Amino acid sequence: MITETFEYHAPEDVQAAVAILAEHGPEAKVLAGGHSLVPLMRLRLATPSVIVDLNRIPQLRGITTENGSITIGAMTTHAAIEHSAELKAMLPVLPAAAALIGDPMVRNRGTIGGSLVHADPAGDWPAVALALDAQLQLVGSHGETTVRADDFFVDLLTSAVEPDEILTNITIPIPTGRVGVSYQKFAHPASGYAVTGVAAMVMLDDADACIESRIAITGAGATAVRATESEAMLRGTDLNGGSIDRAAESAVSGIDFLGDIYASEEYREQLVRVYTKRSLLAAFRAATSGHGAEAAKTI
Amino acid sequence: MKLTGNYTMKAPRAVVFDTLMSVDVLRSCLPGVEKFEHTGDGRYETRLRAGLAGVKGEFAGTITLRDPVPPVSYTLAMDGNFSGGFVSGVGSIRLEDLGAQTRVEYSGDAQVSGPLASVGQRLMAPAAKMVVGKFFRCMEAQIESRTNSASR
Repeated sequence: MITETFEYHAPEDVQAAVAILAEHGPEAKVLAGGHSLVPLMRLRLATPSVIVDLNRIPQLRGITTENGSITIGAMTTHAAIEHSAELKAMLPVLPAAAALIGDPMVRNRGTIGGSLVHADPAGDWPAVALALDAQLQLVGSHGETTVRADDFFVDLLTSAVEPDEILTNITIPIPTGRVGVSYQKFAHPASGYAVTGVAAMVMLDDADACIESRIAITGAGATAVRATESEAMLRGTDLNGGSIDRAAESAVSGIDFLGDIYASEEYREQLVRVYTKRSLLAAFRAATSGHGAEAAKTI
Repeated sequence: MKLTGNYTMKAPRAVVFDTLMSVDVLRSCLPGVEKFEHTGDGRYETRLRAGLAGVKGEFAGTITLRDPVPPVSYTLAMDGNFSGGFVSGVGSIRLEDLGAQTRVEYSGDAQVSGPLASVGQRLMAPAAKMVVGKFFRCMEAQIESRTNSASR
């Protein structure tokens, strides 16, 4: 179908984009890669009267490294992250996770910022952003704010971005020391979405004991969440022992599981146990081998 | 689409039941209410309009509260147009007495048709769950404000 008529704006800088959003309020919708928005518009399920296309704002694209952290422009495509030599060297879980998203067409157009702001319960980036303690920079008509990933995913398809705000950058501290990060997902065979995906970061001391960990789960409930109880259980334990099993077991607590015709609530619960374990083991392997990251998907 | 769940409210059962039956509270807690008018026998002519991620969900039809067994249970039925399709559903609501608290258990089944139902199938049940959760949180806040003003 053809979309409902709308007013199209393609501003060339962030301030101009924000001004258009401030003028039109919730009737305006921001267009990034368009892989969620455009199909909804073509079915006339979404009928925004104003579209603010961010594709012509060059400063929203690109990857830079500075002061021990990586900053990724919100309009950077999954493919650009997947193929970035800089990221492969600095934080290889990002290209590895990007490679698991959808298919090449989705990765060539879809953006990390679009994925985060859309806050799809089965999106991949939310889990990765939570596990890496990402900071998200928002610019609105009232100025700039920074939101931690922990506070960003508010509810189903609802992020902390207000209608007059734009996500501009994602800043991720580069973990140092004996750190491994992993993202493992069980992908929906048709859409590639995460039926369940688990991102895990572990930081080890010289005796392989866990100094710190972060575990984040997507696809299971209405939003991506951290498994803080499991993280606390791992602290100070030797990950060669049984602590990973126990942490994986408790990762399901506190999640209000989604169920659909493809995967029931009970099935998703079991996927969370299995993928938390796989992700922690992979992160542990990455930390001890010095390789830094692993990612894999099962269909 | 099946929908089950529960929500525990910090209020005694009789108060929760009365609140769930109160037209004023329902009107203020249902999402995007444009119309909610009693037409007799527990039937309400209703128009709701709410949005999520740029998609507008619209309901126009009747909501019926029937078979009330105060303060234990009642049945809620919903029939009407839903965003270019139809929705027809029945749910049962049971209130369990936990002393100072009450657990509201709901369980329902709805037939939903139309473009939103077919394309958005993956997200329909979680969206419905979110609406129900917001509804109960709003209701809890209403009970709290009523109790506070009554105790003054």
